[in-house]
Amino acid sequence: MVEEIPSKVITATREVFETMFYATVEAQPDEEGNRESLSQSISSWIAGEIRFEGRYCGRMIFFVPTELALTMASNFMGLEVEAVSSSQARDVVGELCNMVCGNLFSKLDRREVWTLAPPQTWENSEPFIGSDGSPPTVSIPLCIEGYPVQLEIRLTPAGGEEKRNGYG
Amino acid sequence: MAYNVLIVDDSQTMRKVIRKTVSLSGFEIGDCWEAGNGKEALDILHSCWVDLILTDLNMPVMNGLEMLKELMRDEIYRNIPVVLITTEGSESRIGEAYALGIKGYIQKPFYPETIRDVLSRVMEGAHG
Repeated sequence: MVEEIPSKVITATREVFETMFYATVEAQPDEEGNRESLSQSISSWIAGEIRFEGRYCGRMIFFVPTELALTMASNFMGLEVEAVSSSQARDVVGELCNMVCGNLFSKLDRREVWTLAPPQTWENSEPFIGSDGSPPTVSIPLCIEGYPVQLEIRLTPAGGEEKRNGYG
Repeated sequence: MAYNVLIVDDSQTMRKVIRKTVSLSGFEIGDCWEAGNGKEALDILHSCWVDLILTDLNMPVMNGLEMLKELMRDEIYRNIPVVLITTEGSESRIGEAYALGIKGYIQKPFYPETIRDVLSRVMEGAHG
């Protein structure tokens, strides 16, 4: 099942963005250096994280440029971008995580019961710095409406706790 | 015919989106109330007449299944049609919700047409 995650999460992400945010999603090659170049190209971003438990435990994290998050909230809620608050933009990133995660698990196995925690979001005006060095289980660079977005899934090893990184 | 609707979801943003999408779908809304969890929803029901409940499953304080159980215990509330709008996709949880009396299920993300079709069918069944 783990090997199915990358293709299915991209499909789930596309469905969510096209249905709810009226945006197109392109998967980018996960080449070495993409994650670092992402951190350098974004000066302000919103991160959304959702923890899950089921056959696998772990978390899904989206890193979204603040500008894109504001546009997403504008499309999602039918507001002008100028009328979107930062809390609404964060809420929308949290909902993004919720919908993609739920959609992903429906595609992986509907017989399995997956428990999703409430999503957490945070803002950072500093360029994203790489984590504690441990690589995510799945790392997918995306291009959404011309903006770079990073999607990561970190699975908890069986019998152990996931090592937290430094961003939240 | 306009229906009084209660939207239950812990995300204020999602509640607004659901309300907007329901309106855009052509489904006529009369009064519309919002609740952040099942307990808040039950409090609203004590004082407001509701024709239809749209609810998420995973919420703090009182989740959707717990709210459904409370609704089933009441002679009046158990007759209000309930439609799930949720990211939840597991067959067992959705089956549990149907056993507790929901009339429809919409998985997020959703198109306005899906909302329209499900709500129209549910309300025709409730009043037919």
